[in-house]
Amino acid sequence: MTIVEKILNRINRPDLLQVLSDELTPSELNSLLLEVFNRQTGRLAPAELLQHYQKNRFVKPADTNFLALRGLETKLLQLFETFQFKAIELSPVAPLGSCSVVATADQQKILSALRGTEVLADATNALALHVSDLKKSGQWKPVSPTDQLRFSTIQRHVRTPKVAVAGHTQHFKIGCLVSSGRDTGSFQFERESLAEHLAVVTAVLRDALRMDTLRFKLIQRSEDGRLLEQAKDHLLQRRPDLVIETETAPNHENHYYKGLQYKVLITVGGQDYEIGDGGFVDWTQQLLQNKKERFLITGLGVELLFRLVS
Amino acid sequence: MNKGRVIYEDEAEPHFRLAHPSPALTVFVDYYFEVNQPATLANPLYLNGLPNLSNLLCISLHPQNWLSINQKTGAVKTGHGSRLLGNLTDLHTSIYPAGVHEFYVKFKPGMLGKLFHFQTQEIENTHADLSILIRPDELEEQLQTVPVFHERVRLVETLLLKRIQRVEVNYKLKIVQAVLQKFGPKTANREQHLSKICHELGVSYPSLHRYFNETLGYSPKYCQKLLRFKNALQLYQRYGSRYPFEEVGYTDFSHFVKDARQLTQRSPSEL
Repeated sequence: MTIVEKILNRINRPDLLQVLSDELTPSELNSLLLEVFNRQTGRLAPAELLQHYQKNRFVKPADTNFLALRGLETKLLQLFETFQFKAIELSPVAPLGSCSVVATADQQKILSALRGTEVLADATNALALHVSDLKKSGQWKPVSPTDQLRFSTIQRHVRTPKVAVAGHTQHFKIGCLVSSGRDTGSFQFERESLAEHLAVVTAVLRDALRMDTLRFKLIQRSEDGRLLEQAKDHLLQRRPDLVIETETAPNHENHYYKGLQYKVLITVGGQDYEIGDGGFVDWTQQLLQNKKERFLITGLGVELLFRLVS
Repeated sequence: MNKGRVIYEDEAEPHFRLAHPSPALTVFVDYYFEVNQPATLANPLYLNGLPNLSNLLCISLHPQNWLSINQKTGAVKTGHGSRLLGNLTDLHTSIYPAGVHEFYVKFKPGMLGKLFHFQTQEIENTHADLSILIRPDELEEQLQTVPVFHERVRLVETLLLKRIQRVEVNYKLKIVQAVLQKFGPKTANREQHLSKICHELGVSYPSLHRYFNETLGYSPKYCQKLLRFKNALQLYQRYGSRYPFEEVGYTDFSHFVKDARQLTQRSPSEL
């Protein structure tokens, strides 16, 4: 019996969940929950509030040097913009389901909120929505078929699973790059956008932060290995200075990325760190209902990076 | 690993063009040059700036984003378009994600400060927007509309000639320039050379040291070391480690490598 079933049995309202989730409109449910929370906070004493603060693992401040971290963020955003990835600041909340509707992400791992929102758990999903909105509303129109939309951001993310690794926190800063384009054949978008993301990450980690151990691992995420082969050949031809490893038969299945995933690896103090992760996803295809849409995402662990360089 | 490369005066056209100043400007300007190198976001252009004494005005003919990294301190500077490049004490790597098409005026050491009334050391390792000196929009627009390099040179010379009329070049500056001229390619052993130069110019070494410090902010030996290294690196890139580095003032190849590490924190092959 699940926790929810136990609660429903205890209050003797076995159909309550169905009523709330199926019979009420989202707006009605929101009004109902707002009233519930209003009553709950009305009963809350300041001393209890402090107790909640002390117990709640999501609400504590980050244990980083704020100004120094902000300095690194500014440096990174300037670098992103130099490479034409327009920096934008996202809302701290995204529409409810931003991650779980289009990606293989469990809604339980995301802090769902009221008024049809959830606390930002993955900025690349929010950027996919922003890009799709620009395209669908006609605010951005490509001049040529190969034109791309490029955005970057650095946002604090909140994820609900209890952290198991010492030093990890419930909320953390991630730097994100996204490229959105259209399929023009021969994996042109995939090859070029991947090379661009790797060029930015190289400028950040190897050139600006002087991490000479930087290397990339391309991982095949489809039955067909042509994308991996073509992307690798393209990269080796354009950037012989990059260290690129490949994995054609990965140990773990991953349905998050479509066709190709890549990892950003560095070694600091003799220890290997997976400082970044990226790949192709079909989110804009789903959002815009167009199979020709292509979307590449990259996430860079800015807070971990800060801890490693400071 | 791509660590960038140094552009020398003998780079091949059409990506590099060079012109010398007219006689009236030779005291102020070393030369004019233009770099026109394409690049893509996926494969940006990396250029290295060696430690040097020169001040450069860089006017963007096709304004693009650029990124400059001080390889010693790690300081990162980003910007867009025209800029002022101060004399460098550290190796700087510039990254141009969308290529570069820029026109440069390379001033003789200390002379840009004379023209714009500042001490050379004030702009040490500066990689700043040109607007701190002049209004670049007008100059950019003028140079961008001129179709060819030699016409751009003529236009810039006209502007500079107006400005130099108000500038007086004193005795100390003339001596410093004469010494720097002698630090050019293929200098002999530096110790003998400096004393010989002092003798030739009829100035004592302490006086020369003072003139250099007042004019450039550096000692004659340091300036000689920078210019010797620049020349030797070009020879290394052309002929490799077997070149007789004794001919350009080094004890041997190891001495040259030691200088490279000291000045740039890199081995010559990484420059």
